[in-house]
Amino acid sequence: MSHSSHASQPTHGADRELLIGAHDYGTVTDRIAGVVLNQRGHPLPWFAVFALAFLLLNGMMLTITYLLYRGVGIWGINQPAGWGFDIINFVWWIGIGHAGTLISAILLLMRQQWRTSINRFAEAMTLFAVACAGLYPLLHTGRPWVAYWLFPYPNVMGMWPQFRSPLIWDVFAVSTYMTVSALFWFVGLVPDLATLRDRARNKVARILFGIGALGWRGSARHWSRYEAAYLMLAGLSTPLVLSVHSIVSFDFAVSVLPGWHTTVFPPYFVAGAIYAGFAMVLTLAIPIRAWYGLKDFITDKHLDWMAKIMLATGLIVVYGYVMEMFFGWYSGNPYEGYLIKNRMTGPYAPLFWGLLICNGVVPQVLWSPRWRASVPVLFAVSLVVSVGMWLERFIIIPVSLHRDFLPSSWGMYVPTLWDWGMFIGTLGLFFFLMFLFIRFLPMISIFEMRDLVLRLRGHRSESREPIAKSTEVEPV
Amino acid sequence: MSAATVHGIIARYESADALLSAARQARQRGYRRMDAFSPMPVHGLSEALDAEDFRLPWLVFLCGVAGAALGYGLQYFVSVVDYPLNIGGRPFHSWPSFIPVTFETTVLLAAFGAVFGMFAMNGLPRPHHPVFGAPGFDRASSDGFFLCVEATDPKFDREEVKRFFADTGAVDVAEVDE
Amino acid sequence: MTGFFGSYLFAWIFWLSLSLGCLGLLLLHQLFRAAWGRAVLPVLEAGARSLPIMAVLFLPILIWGMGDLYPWVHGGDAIDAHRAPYLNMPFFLIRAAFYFIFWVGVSSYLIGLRRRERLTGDVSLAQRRTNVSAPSLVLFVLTVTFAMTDWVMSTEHHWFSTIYGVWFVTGQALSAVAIAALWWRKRQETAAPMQEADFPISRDLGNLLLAFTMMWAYISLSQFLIIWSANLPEETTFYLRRSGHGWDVAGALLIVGQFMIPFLALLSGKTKRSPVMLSRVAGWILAMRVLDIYWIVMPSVREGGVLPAATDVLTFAGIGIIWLVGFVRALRGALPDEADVATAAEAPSHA
Repeated sequence: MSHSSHASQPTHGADRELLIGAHDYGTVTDRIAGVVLNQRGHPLPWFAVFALAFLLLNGMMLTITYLLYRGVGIWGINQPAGWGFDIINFVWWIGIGHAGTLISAILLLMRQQWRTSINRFAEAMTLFAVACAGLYPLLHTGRPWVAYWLFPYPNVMGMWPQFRSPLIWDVFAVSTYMTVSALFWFVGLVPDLATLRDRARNKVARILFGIGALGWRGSARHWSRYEAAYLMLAGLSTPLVLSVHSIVSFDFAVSVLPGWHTTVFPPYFVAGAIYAGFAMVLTLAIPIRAWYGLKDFITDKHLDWMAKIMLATGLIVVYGYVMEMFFGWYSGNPYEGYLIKNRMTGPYAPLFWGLLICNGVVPQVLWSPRWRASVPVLFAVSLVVSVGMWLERFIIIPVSLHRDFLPSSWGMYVPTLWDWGMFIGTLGLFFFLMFLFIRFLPMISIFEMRDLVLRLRGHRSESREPIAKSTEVEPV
Repeated sequence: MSAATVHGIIARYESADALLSAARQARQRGYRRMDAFSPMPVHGLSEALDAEDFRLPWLVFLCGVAGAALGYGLQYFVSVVDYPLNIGGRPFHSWPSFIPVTFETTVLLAAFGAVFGMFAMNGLPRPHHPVFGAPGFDRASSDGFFLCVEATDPKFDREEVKRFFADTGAVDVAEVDE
Repeated sequence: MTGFFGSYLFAWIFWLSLSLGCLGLLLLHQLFRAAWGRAVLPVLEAGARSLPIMAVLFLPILIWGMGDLYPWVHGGDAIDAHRAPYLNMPFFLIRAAFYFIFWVGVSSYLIGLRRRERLTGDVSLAQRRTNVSAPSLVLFVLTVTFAMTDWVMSTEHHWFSTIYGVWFVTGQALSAVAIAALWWRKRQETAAPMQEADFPISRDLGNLLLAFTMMWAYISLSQFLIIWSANLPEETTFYLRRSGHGWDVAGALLIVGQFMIPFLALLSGKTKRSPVMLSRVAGWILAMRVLDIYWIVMPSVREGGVLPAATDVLTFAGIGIIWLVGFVRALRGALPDEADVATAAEAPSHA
């Protein structure tokens, strides 16, 4: 195994744009910790969004209560479309989570300094998105109170899970992903919790932060193991995140259904996940940095990078569409051919064309540096991409299912009010958790921002000399 | 106060560079039982203190190997030995189908190794430590850089250490009670 | 003659994939302009400059080998008829011409821009290289996908796989990084004594090798697992044909040799820090790439066992010598690398 410092690139001119204003260790600490420690400083939009999210969350609770009372029959799923909103939204949410891991792990390995001010926030997004995603298969089992049957444990029934099914792979992938993401997030938080412990005036807050900080004291020995562990976690999370969405894609691809069974699915799903995830990071980061006065830390340069990644992953997704359509035709298989035709001209055709516009056409404005620099345009594009990626899952799931091999089994899938209630409810849950996080935990990694100050400015903002020797790489 | 009740002498420096150079000099002076405290990782500091530890990557690697063996072993036992079922005519030992879960258990155990191994080697969680009693030590988590020579160091001498700290440009110097 | 053109196709595809890998990395590098890319630019450019030779070497297949290699040329069944609007001689030739014109065009344009930049010192040209590379990379991936579909996948009568293009693009990139790592060792031995700043480049190349090794394994596994699990007769032909006559042994060797061994070797920081160790791993990976291409191409174009025929060795060596001569000459005349630009204060980091 190898690890090296995530420092080390010479400070480029462009990197200076990652932190604006005269900041030193003290001011970055104050500004970020202040959001948590000064509980009176929360702007009105926080209360507005939080209240709305809370309302939607309660709507979700009602939906779930009725679902447990009546069963999954209240949803629009039936033969032939046995998978509907439950799987669409599962895939959509889990995909959104993937950008968080990408930012915190892959960009760390690539030594991209611009990750520093958005990684914490994106990791939290991962956790909450995976929590939303997890609800769907859990409830779709129909009897969530025995969901533990999915795990392999010796039981009196004498049965074991069936390891040749991708659905059981999913159980392992999603629970591993949730666990490792939570660990990664917590490990990153420990030094910051120590900062909050040392600065909190409120006694209860001090005790709570103190428990979370585990007695962290910033010892050099601790830091050295800490950095090694953090880097190895990043190295583990990177293939993990690829595996999770690949396994989600196997749920479809290892079947024999046209529209599901195609070999390009794993990389194409992963790219789509990152695409949707970056859209969500932008959707959240743009308003929050304005409300909390964090434009010095989440700068226009960050938005520009995220826009570029969105464009790149969007193009990979479009590549996936091209491959699906071309080989659907090339195969010469009548069922494959019909699927493509049904997508383009069938009863769900408007959704298909909407998907191409949202995912394929609109994001192309990001080629222009001028459009990328416009925050309203970025915000709008990120919303469009979120819609597009949701439509993509709709096109993949019910549109492939509703025309079975036998025309006598054809049907339609129409989501019910309860489906919508559940979907909008998870949006509520997501924003509810996200806004709680923003209020009670540091949304930007404080110690890594101090590290960035050291790296970009050599402590004081007056001196612009990077500290040469001490920040050089030391591969091990 | 006798030396036994003193944990050590601690000094605060203004910058990461000052701390790093003080740590190197302390090492040259022959101090061995030292620790440094900083608000973020300072590269080169653990080398300067000769406190590098290369066990963690091996632990993670071994945990990963164990995860792979357990994951594959579990699936083999379940699908071939204890509960063989014919699923769509696939062989009981369907090794291609076992790869995804094996991968996940590998990553899971390796990640456990990295996180719990790191905390265990660091001796955390540890609710209290004498250095927390040092005056102004709360700055170690925002903008203070500290170096502490512990009383158990064979060359520990209160006045000598204080003089050394003053010579290396420490801003504050204080004794830390045990 | 069937035997001969099968061997020829394998050899040609292998050496072509080196050039295409270099071109792909060259385009990718322009987007990031990381230190490793600036250091190995000459080798990427030299690799890409062999593309015109490879275009000429395609002619024998076009003139004499089509009927032997591609079942669709003879037509026959319903699927052939269905695919005829795409798989027909004139369109096949037009596409081949388009691919090569694009590849040769974009590589010589980029090299030309860099030459002009060297001569005039006009730094804005570097930005133009980036601007050209972004859309070119998109077109590059598409052209490689369709080229490999045309030239390799269509040797299988009915089989198809949508991940095929990505499989080839990844394998080509892996080959190109391996060549870059080999060259980097040579440069370290001939150039001035190793500088401190050179360690990160060796490590970055090692990490890239590791990343592409894992990508290759991931893509290969995905394709296999999906086809194996679904078990559809029209798709399993590909793997069935590679599961007897020693081809299964070759496949297992690929899993061990192109994934496990390099993966474990590259996990260690020691391997990545030393250009010598790294070049050994890179050489091993390149050897495995030969086997990989052999395993992909050969069973589709020739009945029989895994052991190579004399024609395989001869064509491989023949095309190889031509490629290497072109490569070495291009390398001799290449522009110096941009490692010296690496520390310039305002190095752009556009993507």
